[in-house]
Amino acid sequence: MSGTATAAGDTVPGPKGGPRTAASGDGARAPRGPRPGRTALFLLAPGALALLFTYAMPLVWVVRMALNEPLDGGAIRQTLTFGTFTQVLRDGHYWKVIGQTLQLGVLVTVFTLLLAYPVALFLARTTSRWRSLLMALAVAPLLISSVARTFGWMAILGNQGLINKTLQALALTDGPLPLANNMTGVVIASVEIYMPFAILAMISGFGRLEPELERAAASLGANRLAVLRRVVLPLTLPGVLTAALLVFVLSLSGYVTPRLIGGGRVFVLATEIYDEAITSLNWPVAAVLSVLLLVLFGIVIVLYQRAQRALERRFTGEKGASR
Amino acid sequence: MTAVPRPLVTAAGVAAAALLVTSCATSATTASGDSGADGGKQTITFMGFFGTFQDSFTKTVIEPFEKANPDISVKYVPIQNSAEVLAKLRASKKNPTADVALMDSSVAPTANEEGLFAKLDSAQVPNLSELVDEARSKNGYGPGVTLDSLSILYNSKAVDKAPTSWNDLWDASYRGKLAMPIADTRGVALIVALEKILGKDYKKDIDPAIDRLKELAPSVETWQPSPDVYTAVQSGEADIAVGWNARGQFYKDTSGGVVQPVLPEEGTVKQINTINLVANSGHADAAQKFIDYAIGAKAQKAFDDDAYYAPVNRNAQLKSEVAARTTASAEQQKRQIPVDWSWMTSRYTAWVDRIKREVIGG
Repeated sequence: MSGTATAAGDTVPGPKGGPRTAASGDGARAPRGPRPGRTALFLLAPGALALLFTYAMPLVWVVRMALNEPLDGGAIRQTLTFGTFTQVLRDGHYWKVIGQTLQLGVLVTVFTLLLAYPVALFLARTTSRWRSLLMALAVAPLLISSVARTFGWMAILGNQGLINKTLQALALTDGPLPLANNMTGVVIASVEIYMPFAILAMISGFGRLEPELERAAASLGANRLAVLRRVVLPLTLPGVLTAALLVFVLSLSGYVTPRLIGGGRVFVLATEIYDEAITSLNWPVAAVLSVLLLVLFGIVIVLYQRAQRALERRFTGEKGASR
Repeated sequence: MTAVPRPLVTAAGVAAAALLVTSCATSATTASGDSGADGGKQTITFMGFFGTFQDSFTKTVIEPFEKANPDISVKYVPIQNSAEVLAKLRASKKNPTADVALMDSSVAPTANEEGLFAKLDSAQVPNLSELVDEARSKNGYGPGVTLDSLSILYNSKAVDKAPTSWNDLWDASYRGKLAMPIADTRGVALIVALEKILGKDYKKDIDPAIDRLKELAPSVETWQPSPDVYTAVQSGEADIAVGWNARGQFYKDTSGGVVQPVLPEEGTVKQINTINLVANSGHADAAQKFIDYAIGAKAQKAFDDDAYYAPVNRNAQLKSEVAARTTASAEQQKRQIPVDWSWMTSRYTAWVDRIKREVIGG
């Protein structure tokens, strides 16, 4: 599939907070049983080796490339300098790119959560016998590559697209509305593309939600809004948080959608890295931007873990034993 | 503590070493092909562009070459762009994965300087003497093999008044319907053309062209049509665009004339792909024989008649209807806008950056 799927596998810890927290956990978290034995290590070896070659080594190579100096015409001077970092960080253009990347991430995350939450809540609570079918439908878009889905959105949002054709046929607008080839189009398409991920992440994080609690709250006089606000929302917050992390990180690294529907106006880190590497042949700058993107991921994941820990502390004094 | 995993670490080390050895071994075999050391059949590996270019080049150049040289076979490795060739050759410098490679003439000087390509032996490539001036290499490296040019494209169903001049891009009637994929070589070529039209010298100052393009920015619907500019014009998503002529002519035929490429009256700027001998190739003789064939009059005529490039060989006479649709026509020959692509190598990035930052506004 597209780059977004690999990015998800590479950078996003699982919905349960990821193995890193478990391994390096703070004192409150008990270690997971005895140290892994020989068999376990043996079983881990193939995966670890594969990761070493496909992930760790290329990463080292990228960091090394970031310390080289770009010369004119795509040539590279082998050296060890932070000069390229300084050059990038002093250049307002790249700050603008970072700003737009974050802006896209925030917009997409907010809209995706707003749209996915009701769906996830419904799917988690429903007792309908169609539940499995509805679940399958909710994640069915994942069966189609995001490239195809982005092209689908272009057919809908473009100047010759469904919406603009209809609006003009009804004489509601003079010219076409600028729905594609800009940030608007990228946000709309991205939201739809990431919604299944958000729904799945939310449902898996809705474990605490039990119908009895809602009924109990209602019996104590809470109206439906109060139940939603004071019972359902807090209980589902861990799932929402995981979905937020997943969607945010996916959209930070997303390349396909901004490239295809952005009309060349939406400059984000992923497209900029491609342009620097392929069009300008400036590998050191492309590598520096990749490192910056990685740093950004790091920051986001630290923030997520802090938020998650704060959330767990709020839950009835449980010491993070359960999730 | 460390005693437990140590055997595993050793095992992992051995496995890693084994992997490295085998991967080197496989790349070594792919590099030199199944070379017949004792004068048997040789296989040379050619990196060329993918898609319709590959189809056409295979049919009109490689197959006839193999027929004429039964002891040599050519393996075509399709690549997306010159950057990919550069990356692949850099990664396999000592034991290259190709013997002959195409590369854009603005990128090739970098590869020459890094020692990725070797100079040709003019005795083994006699057709070098038949080349037109712009295809000649100044320093003995790979010559030009294809001449393309920048065109204006329009959708003949949507546009009543066909554009004829570069200045028509600024025509108010095309407002909001332009597709301008110019954050790459096309933009660099367009700047050269605009400087000439504005009576300026692109080697001195490109501000006038950049300012002119800024005026165009509000009319542009997309700076990056998807999947490419030709299909965007064909579908009517954009009415007017700039694009490469050869591909535009291909789409003119396949779209039944909906896509119309125009070589503007002021002339246009040529894009040159060079054909290069990869340094440390194990088959330098066969590779140069292939290069000689590819720039020869026969191959040039066959390829250009099929793919609408202009010939690099003076003796190649294209079909008249093809010549009229390329810069090979006598009329277009008179008004070409000259460009020094090897000079451009060191300015390319800065120009593209200015287009992105000042014109598109990134």
